[in-house]
Amino acid sequence: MEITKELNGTTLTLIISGRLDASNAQELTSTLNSSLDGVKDLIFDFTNLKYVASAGLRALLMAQKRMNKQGSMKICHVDETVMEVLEMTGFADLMTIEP
Amino acid sequence: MKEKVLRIWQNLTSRKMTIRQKMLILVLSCSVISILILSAVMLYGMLAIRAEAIETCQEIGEMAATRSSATLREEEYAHLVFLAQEEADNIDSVLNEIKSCVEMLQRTATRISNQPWEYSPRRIAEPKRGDGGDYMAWVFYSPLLLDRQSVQEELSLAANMQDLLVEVAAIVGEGESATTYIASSSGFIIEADNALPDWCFPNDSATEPATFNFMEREWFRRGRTEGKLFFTAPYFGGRDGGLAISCAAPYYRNGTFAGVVGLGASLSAISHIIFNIELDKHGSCFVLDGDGHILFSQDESGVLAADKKLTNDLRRHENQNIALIAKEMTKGSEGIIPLTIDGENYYVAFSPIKNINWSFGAVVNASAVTELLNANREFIKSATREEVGDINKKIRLTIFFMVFAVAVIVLIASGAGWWLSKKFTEPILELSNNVREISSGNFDKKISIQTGDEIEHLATCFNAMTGELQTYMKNLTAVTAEREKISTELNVAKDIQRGMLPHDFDFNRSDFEIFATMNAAREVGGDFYDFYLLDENHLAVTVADVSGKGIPASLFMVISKTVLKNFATFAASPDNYAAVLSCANNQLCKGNDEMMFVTVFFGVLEISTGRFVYVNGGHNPPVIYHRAANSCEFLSVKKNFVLAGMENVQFKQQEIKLEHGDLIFAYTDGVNEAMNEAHEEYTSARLLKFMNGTNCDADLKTLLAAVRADVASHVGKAEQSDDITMLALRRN
Repeated sequence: MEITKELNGTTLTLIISGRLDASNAQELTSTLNSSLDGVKDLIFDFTNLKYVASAGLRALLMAQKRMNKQGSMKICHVDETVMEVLEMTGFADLMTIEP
Repeated sequence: MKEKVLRIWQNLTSRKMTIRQKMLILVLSCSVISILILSAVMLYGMLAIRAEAIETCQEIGEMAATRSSATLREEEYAHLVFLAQEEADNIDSVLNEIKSCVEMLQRTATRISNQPWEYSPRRIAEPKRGDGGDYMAWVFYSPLLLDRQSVQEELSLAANMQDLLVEVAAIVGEGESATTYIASSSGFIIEADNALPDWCFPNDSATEPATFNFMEREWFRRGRTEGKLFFTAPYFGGRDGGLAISCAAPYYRNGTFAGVVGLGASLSAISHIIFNIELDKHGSCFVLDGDGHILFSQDESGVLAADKKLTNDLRRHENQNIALIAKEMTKGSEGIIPLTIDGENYYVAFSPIKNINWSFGAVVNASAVTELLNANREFIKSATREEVGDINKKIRLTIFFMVFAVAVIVLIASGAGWWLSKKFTEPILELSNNVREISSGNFDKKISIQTGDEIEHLATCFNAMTGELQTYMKNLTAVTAEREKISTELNVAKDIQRGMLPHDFDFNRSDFEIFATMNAAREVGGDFYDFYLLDENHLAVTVADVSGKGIPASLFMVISKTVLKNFATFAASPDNYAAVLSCANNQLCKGNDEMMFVTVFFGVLEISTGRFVYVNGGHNPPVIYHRAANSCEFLSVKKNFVLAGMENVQFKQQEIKLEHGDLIFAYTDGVNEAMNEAHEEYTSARLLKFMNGTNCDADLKTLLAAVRADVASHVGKAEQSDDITMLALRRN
């Protein structure tokens, strides 16, 4: 998994590629913990994300809960398989997902 | 050859050697090679010097021999010439004596003629028969003088010389004979002798002494014409029959020729001188007159014998060499000329006798000179040989000392190398011994090396390393102990977790069957299944997956399972299982700062009717098998949110009717996401396909095993990444 950060004012875009699973979800959590101060709009770009495991969902959930307090969060360019997981787990209903 | 050398070199270099051996070889090879090179250079230099020295020595010797021979020859020549000179001078002195006598007579005669008043007239005797024995003076008259009275005055004055004449004749002719005279141009002659001349009384009958026509004599004529003192040519005329010579000089009266004074002497004095000369080296000597006649010679015979008749002019001798020598001698030259007579080599050294046109010659055998030169050459050669031998000896000695010195140096270098390498390697050996001891576990060991060099530094580093190692080991031991403890605890936790899953699938009922498996991945995970009878007619089943892995997941799993079961068991409103999950969700959300969540498939089978009510909280949709259609499909599930993700989430429940033989197959994502080595997932599609292809009426245990086997066949050798949990429920 690779995480690319793009901070534009108060908008932080995280481009995540590869596989987001239990082995590297902690890395995303750490990145989020250290980058979210002052961020109002958090955007996840999942164009190149091929797989997300439950640990990855947990990281997304943590981000969502935090952004509920300080702004908004949306996920865009979600891959089909990842979308399946998001839908199945109900995350799709809870989070703002753009095509 | 090159290969052979290369092989030897490889053998040498590939041999495993200790540092000590290497150092020894290094020191030895360095010193030996440098010494050998040095020695080779020195040896070469010495040999070159030796060759040069010997050559130079020989050259110098040769040159010295040549030069000294030349010098010696010159000297010998000079010596011979000097000898000739000396003898010539000796002879000359005899002639000088005669000459000075004649000069004295000349002076006296001149004085008497010019200053007659100083003299008184004297009587002079006429010769008488029987005169002689002692020296005395007589007067003789010329036959041309007619009037003897006319000369009496002059005669009486001239008679003053008679004593002088007698005295000089006596002195000069001592032991031999000599004649002195004064011959006046007036026609008389006063002669002093110790015997009367033979012609005076030619026979016994003669009473008057004979006249003497002296004016016709050569000496008188020459005296008149030459006007100075002269020697006549030698002649055989002495009373002893030997060679004689006359010396005469004119005297003048008032500038006019008045007569001649003279002295005739035997040359026996010269002859004596000649015969008394003792030339060493087998030599002989001779006197040559101005006409090339040998007057005197030590040789009795041969070409250089005396010419008794004074007829043999040597200048015309057939031997060109002799002729040349004679010419040179008669010319009045002085020198030395080699001469070969009868195959013998001689040198002739000659010098002029100045008073008279004679020359003295000394003949010496050349062998004498040659012998001298040869001796000289031989001496120098032997000296040279000695010198060369000396040089050789010294060089040999030096080479010997050099070899000795090289041997000593090599010996010292070996010793020093041995000692040095020992000194070098000893600390290393000590270090390695200490390190061995340390490596055997004695970390308290401190290496003590005080060499003050890199090895001491190394030892210090080793000590530091040992200290760190000790600390590290302690830490590691502690950590390992901790790890082991944790590992043990984890295993216990894993066992407890497994123990919490129900293992008794036999409810002793024929109206339903249930079977479940959970294959945990390596560490404790968050999958769980559960089933229990709510009452005699209601069977609750749960398959859940907690997010993440490890201890937190397993702890959360325990909580989730407990909470779910509690709420299901003690549900306030039966049949509203959505509320059960809502309550469980809210309960789990409390204090869930870590954002753990769990996906749940929860269903309750009303056994008697087959009515199956289920709530899906974000979990994979189970597979349902319809026996009537003998086909499988995914159970339609509402997309509810996961449990514990967010409070106050509403869940929707659904229901279907299970016919007899119908089957619910619930599983966790460990099945459909099982990955092979190429990271390809098993997928739920393949699961459905497999279940459609397999016998779903089989024993549940067999069925689950078949699914598991198909998953395993997909996974292959890849490690199991997630728990694989499967639960199957069949209504009979």
